[in-house]
Amino acid sequence: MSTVNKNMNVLIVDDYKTMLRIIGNLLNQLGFKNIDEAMDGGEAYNKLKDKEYGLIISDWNMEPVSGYDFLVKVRADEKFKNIPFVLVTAESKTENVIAAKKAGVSNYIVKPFNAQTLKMKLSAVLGPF
Amino acid sequence: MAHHTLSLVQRLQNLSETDLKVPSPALASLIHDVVEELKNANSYNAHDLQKEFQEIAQYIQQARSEIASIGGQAAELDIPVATDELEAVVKATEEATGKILDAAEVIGRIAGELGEGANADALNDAATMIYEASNFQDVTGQRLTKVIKALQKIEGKIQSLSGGTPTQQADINNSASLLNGPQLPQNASSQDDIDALFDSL
Repeated sequence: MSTVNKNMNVLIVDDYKTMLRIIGNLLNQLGFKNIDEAMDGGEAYNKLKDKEYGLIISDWNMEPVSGYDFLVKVRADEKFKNIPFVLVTAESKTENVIAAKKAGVSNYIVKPFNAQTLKMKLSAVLGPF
Repeated sequence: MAHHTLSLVQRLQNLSETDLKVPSPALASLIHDVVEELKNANSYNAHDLQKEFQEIAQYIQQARSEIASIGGQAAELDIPVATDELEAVVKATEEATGKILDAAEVIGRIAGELGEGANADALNDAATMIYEASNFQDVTGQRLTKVIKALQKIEGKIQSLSGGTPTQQADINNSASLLNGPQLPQNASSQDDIDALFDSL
């Protein structure tokens, strides 16, 4: 039985509008309906202050504030540090994965990805659904 | 002056540490004499050295002219055209992907209206496949942006070598050392590789 609250607010962050649409649509298919978007880490961080989020899915390579810098900022903030944070990125070098893990990322998805991988990683972070 | 009776080497050895730290009349006088010595040098070696320097200077001048004539065309015309073309490819692909996603969203809506059933599932699966396939746009867009930045960097280098002013500032943001962008397929880590690494940390 699923214990995941699919009514939670999900924040997706990517500087490519196409990718925001893709992730948003895939999340919709998985049953998540309350999805907000941001185009970089700075905008995303401001959105965290306005609403309570149960999940963050972020790209890495964005300007001016990258997904990695956003992750570091989130984990350093007492109010947001426990929000599950998944990186979905084309950055696949070992050093990137190590840095992200050290910074406290909840899971790491490499682009291009498929719907099954997204579901599997979200299940690993949120619990089975 | 008494010290002029000594050789240049002896005078250099006689300079105190203080003389070397602070420009002194003794040091100035020594440098002046060295320059004079070089001017008046008639030995074969000095002449040869002078000739070598002249040849090197000519070679550098010639190389700069060649870079200016060959690279000038590349930096002023070919590379900007190539970057414009690539930027157009990125834009066109993004627009096309947007239209494909519009269609996929319509398919998804129809599937939702159909409710549960084989037809609805088939349409949902088709929409999912389109979303998955559209991932390419983000990755190819990032690849092409990397190429565009590299070309602009080359353009700037050629222009500085040929004596011109770079039209575009090269990206020298070293602080973003982790921004590598997509790896080439032969070098890229798979999701399984990432998972194995992630779990091992």
